[in-house]
Amino acid sequence: MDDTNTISLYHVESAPTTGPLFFTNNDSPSDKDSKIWNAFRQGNREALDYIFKEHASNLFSYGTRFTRDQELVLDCIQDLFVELWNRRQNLSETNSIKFYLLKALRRRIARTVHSVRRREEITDEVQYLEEKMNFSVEQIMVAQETDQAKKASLKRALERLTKRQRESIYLKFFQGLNNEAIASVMGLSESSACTLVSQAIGALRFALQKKS
Amino acid sequence: MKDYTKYSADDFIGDDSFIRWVKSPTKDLDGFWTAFLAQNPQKEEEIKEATNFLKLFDGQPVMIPTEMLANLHQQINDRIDVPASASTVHQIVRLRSRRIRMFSYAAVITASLLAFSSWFFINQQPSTRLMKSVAVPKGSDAKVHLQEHVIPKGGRSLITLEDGTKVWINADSRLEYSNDFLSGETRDVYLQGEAYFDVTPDKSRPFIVHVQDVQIKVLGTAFNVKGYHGEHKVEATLVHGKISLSGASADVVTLAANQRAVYLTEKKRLLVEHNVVTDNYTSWRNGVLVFDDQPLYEILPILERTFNVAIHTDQASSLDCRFTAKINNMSLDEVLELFGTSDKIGYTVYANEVYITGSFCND
Repeated sequence: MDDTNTISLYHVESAPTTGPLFFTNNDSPSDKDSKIWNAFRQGNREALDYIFKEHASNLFSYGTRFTRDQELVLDCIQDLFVELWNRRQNLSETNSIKFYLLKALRRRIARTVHSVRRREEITDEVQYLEEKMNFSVEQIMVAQETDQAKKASLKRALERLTKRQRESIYLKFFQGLNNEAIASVMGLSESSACTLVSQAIGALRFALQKKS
Repeated sequence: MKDYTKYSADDFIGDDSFIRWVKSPTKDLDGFWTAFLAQNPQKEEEIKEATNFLKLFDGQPVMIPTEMLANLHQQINDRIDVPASASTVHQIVRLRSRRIRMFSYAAVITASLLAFSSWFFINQQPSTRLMKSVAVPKGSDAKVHLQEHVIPKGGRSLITLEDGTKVWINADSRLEYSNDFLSGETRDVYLQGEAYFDVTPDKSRPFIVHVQDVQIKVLGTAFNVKGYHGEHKVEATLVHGKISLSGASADVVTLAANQRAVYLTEKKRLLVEHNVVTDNYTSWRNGVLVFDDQPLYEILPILERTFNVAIHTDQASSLDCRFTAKINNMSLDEVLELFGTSDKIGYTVYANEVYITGSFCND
């Protein structure tokens, strides 16, 4: 029974509404996320803490790629968690909490940073984000041990990408999202996301090969 | 099943299974890709190239400092742990501090005139928490139990006290009085926020409103009192009758009808205004808000309380713009739409937060 080593996420006495939540080592990451997310939706505070500890740092890392205003990103994360908790009964299911949170944070930052327009004008969210949010190059982290020349050419190559290409690269290689999730986070169709990613990869590789 | 034998290096780079194998291999992935390589040695070059490329991106992400993270966690828990109405109070406190920082830099900008017509959705919320007994350590009467009426933001309420006195309590306000309200020498009530009193005359037992460090002593009369925490002032507007008002500085002023007193709690100064249109200060009872050449920094908190929202502005100078407006039974959207009729202004509503951008002033 070694493989079904159960981990209790929380203790019954602190449970507001639900019974204890268990997941096992046999659960795939998506099974695990589903279980935790469902516990969260049912008002399980330990699930909230778990999700926070697991994702807050990463959300901060993602959010600060859009703006240098760290306070703003922290405020957005704070509001995001509070609102998710308050609306927990109305949340849809997900088997990727990371993806769900990245998407929600992205929207929130967009609205907070640039609330210039009236609601009715914000019809094309994608275009709106594209104009207003700059996904910064310097924040795409490159392996430390990479030699300087290669690093410099990678940076130049990244700079030449469009903001959206850069963001797709980040979501793919750092956040490990698949194209479907990238499409959803960025508000694109899946086929445009695939094109975006493959063009970005092609452009990067081309730039790197030229150098080496 | 994908045909990986036809994959180029670029294709491998874009493949999710391949990415996961390079970045965070599991037993299954390792098994699959090792077997694939053994069966397709001709792909070794492409796979190596793809792996090297992906490894370029192995840097550490920007980390949030531990202390910041703990703070953030605490703030979230704090907001979740307080009841719903109080959590918005917290938000507004946070936002307000930001705004105050902003308007201290503000240049004084000219007045503009904007005449509104009418407004208001009223939540005549029966959410007054009635008859809640609490032991309140107020001075020497530590054992006295108080009746407490708490009106949340967006709410409004009319109550009648035992002596027949009517009290309209405005949004985000609290009124307390003791259970033996009628047995003392005076009728004492404690107010935070804003209320309108129509006091039943009783010469033998003066009615006293305690608001912050101000006492307003009444025989029988109708008047409005406003003293929100954080606003550093207490206002009393007398409709008819007579009240006397005393602050911590021991000043006592007696108001006559149509006079308004403003006590500045920090400066401990008392100002009296004559011939005021009292209706402007009391019409909130009927859902009418009147602003008479008032700066935005006075108007916004009122809108925030009335509509239960937090309002952000991005231009410090806007806060000094002055408006004259009468808003009668309009929704928040309608009020914002009126502001928005100027091209320079845009707004976004997100849950309980309103973001207004652009300059309010008509230069």
